[in-house]
Amino acid sequence: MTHASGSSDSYTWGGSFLSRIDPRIKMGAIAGLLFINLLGASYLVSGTIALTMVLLMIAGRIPYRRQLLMIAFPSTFAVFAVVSQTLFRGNDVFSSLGPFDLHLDGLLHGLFLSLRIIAGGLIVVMLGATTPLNRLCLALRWFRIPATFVEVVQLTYRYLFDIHAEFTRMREAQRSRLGWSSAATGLASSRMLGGSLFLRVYERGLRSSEAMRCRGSGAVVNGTLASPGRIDLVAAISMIALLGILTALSIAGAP
Amino acid sequence: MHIPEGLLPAEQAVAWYAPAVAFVGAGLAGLKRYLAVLPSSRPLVGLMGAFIFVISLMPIPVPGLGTVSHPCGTPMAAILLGPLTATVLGSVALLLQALFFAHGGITSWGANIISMAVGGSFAGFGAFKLSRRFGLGLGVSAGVAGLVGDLVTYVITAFQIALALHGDESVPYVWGVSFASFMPTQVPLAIAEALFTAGVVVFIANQRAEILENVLVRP
Repeated sequence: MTHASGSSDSYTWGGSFLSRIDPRIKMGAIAGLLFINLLGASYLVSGTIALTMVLLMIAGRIPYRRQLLMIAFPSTFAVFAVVSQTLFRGNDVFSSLGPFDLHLDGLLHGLFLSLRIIAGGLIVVMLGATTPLNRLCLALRWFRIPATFVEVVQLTYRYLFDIHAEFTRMREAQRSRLGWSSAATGLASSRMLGGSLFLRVYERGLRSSEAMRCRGSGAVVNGTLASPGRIDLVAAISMIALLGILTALSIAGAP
Repeated sequence: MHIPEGLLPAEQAVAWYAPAVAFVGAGLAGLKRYLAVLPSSRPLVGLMGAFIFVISLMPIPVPGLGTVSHPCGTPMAAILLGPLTATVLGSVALLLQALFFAHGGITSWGANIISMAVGGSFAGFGAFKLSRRFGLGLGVSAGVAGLVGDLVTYVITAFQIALALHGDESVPYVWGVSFASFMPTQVPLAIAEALFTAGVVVFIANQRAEILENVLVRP
């Protein structure tokens, strides 16, 4: 969303082989990976998943800055997991911090959790970063997700760009009239910006919504996904192989 | 603070999904009827979904913990569109955030829906209705809704985290520690959300009162 061109679709449509894979196959693979990541309870399983996702992102030419942005939120929670588990879990005290004891077994469990969080985050963003939203919506409809839900997804996504466009335009106009030259004018400008932004985007949306209705445009997502091709077959076989290996590692009790 | 992918144990992730699906299902049924009666409400629905997305994606670092707090946006959506519709919009915003920013997750989606979409919407809407019944003005009532909805969201999230990460300590103890840790950032954020919610609702009431009338909220 915050990519230089302003849209995640700008590189999901970028010609990468990952973008061409059928979203239904990707969703199936991602569901399997999330399931194994959660139930695998293994450094090796989560580590393999994380490494695979990073390699796929590199192969899929997802920009480096975008990759860092994707991993920022899971990383903060990974730190939280390590801290909380070191404090609250286990009996093997290796040090203390004020009134709190620090536990070695808790630290190890926290590190495992943090790896699982990072791997899980990478799995999810892999889908979002390599699938244009309209194809994702078509796949959701194919999986019988209610049409109203899919429509709300599309509406929300569309209005994100309207908000961004109006916000940028109004803020620039205020700046050019010295609307942010002092704290007092900044406060007044921000109040005006917030309220006006809401109404302008709403009215703009109302106009285009009415125009679309007059032209007979339906509310429900239109179109269908093409039948799976050779690249989809290769992707499905590769994913089944990866899932098989990860399941075997989990069952074998990998560390 | 959305719970990220991979944090919740599988059984807890499933347990949070069950009520979340029920609430979203009920919300979708109501929203379908609402859009059939008032098709011109689509822009408001999309706009509120986008507002929730933007508002709940403003990370404020929590000192010492390494994680982040943020406002919710669902109380305002609940005032304008009702709590069940706001639940649907919150769930959509959470899904898009998970897909594009790994902010939240898929297996933790149910837990996040319960805390932010359900908790924030219903607590905010309840506080709004109660404030109006006590004769408070529109702006004050909307402000109270923003404050209460925000804080209730964090009480629920702190409980979910405590349940998942309590280890050998008791759940209430870790719950208390979690919530206390978020207080320094969450209380100012809740106040900011109260001011923002009040400001926007009053602005709409002054400029385009028919939006509020359409959704049965009288200025």
